[in-house]
Amino acid sequence: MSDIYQEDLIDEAKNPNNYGEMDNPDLFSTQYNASCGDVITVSVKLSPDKQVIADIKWKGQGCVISQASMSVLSQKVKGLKVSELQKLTQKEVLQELGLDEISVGRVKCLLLGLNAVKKMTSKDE
Amino acid sequence: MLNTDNIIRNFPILTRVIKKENSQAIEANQANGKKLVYLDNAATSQKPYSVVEAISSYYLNNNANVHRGVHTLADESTTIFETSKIKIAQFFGAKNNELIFVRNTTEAINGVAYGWGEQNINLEDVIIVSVLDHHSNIVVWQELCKRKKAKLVFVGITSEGKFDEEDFDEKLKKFSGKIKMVALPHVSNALGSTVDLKTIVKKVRDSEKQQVDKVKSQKIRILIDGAQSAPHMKINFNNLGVDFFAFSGHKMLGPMGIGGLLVREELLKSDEMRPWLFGGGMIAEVHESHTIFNDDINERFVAGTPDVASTAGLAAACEYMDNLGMDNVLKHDHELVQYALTELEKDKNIEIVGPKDETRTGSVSFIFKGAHAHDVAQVLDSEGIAVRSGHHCTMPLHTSQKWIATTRASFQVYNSKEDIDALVDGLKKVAKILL
Repeated sequence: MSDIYQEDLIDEAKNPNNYGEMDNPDLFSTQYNASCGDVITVSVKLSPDKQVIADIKWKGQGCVISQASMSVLSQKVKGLKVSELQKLTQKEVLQELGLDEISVGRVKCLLLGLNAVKKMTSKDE
Repeated sequence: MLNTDNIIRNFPILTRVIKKENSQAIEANQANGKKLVYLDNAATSQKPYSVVEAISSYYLNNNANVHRGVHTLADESTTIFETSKIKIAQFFGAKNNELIFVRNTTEAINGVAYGWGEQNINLEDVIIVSVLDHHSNIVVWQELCKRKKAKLVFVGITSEGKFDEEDFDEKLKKFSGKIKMVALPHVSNALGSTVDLKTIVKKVRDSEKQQVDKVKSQKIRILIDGAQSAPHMKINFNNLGVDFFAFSGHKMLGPMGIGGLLVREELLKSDEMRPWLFGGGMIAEVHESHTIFNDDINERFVAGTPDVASTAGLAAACEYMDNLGMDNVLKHDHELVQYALTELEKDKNIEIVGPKDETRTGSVSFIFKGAHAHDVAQVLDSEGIAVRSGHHCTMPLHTSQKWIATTRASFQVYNSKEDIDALVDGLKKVAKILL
């Protein structure tokens, strides 16, 4: 599976979108990948009616897959309805990364970010 | 060094090719795949023919339940089970009585927590573990401490990544009179650090004698997680001076699903350690009101039908190791470890973690600067090289050292210096792709 290490994907992980922290987030969560020690901290600001992800920032340490997928995901969910976010699937994250598939050993890396944002927004609903 | 060319012939899996069908191979000649270089032995070892044959032969020729029939197959099955058990106990320098079969090291440690801990650990007692410990020798005790309102105390590591004996001295002193269990790894699965059991046992026994309150002074039991030592060195349980020793068969060329808990006979005879699984096989009499357990210690800890085939497989693994000679096995491992340390250190991207001296056993772990361990392992896989990446079930260790994840190459009797050369070459590809 070394084809997952395409240059644009490595670039995405090295120069991620929406990387950082924000003041006074509405939601804040840290997720660990228990199998490898990856960690992602996500801050979210919601729209006044709490229905839409108004802004998102994240920080993390981990592999190319977990970091690149959180980066593309953060772009995707900005402006997205929370209800829409809850419906996002593994396949859609793969598509955002430009991948067709991922080995079973890397699924947790791929979904670390998605699980983090889903978990933090479902608590609020 | 062992003759790995001969050994590899006993392990068919080692000749297979790792194919990357969907890979846009960077070089065209890689399209047909790469020869497997298996360096994930601390997770599980491969199995020789003789082990697989012992298992299949049992099922094809002798399968029947043990100790429960008078027919020929039952006799054969019982004989295979009992002779295998004797062989395995001998391999570990233990009495036949002292060996309790379990699925793996984790189950063995859980067995001690239930069979010994439940009746011996009380409010405010102390259990000592180490940050070097695998989760299986931490979480089990954490849970027991929660149930009993006892205290779990961690011993740290030195700057070299070795078990910190000075810190251990301090903890033994600080909690004197309250400590009931010391549970340590023999060899760290993450760092290869070898704990000097002779020193540990002496320190514990000395500290027992120095307890302030002689009236209430109590025995400290020692449990050793031998998952990573049993595959590489001769274990002589009756000389170790420890009370419990746990091991997994699958890391020492045996099948998955079988391992052992060695318990000093005295603890079994005195009922200090009781059965923790109940049912058929382990009983003498069952009445509606009560049950009397089997007098025979050999049977008291076998509740239900045992895994006879795996027992035969593990006995075959012990025989295989015995034929190589455990002294040669250890020497082979130490030479590989030292060679790997020397070669990997030449790469400026690599930072070795853990001890670098001759005590390091079984594995070499490192941080590849600028790349995550998962990515390192994935690129190595594209070269046919199997290593482990992550925190290796030692989160407290990784957290204490502020390591996100490490990459580990671990060895067995079939590994050669060429395998390490392949790893070093593979890491050059990692740098090319990821840095």
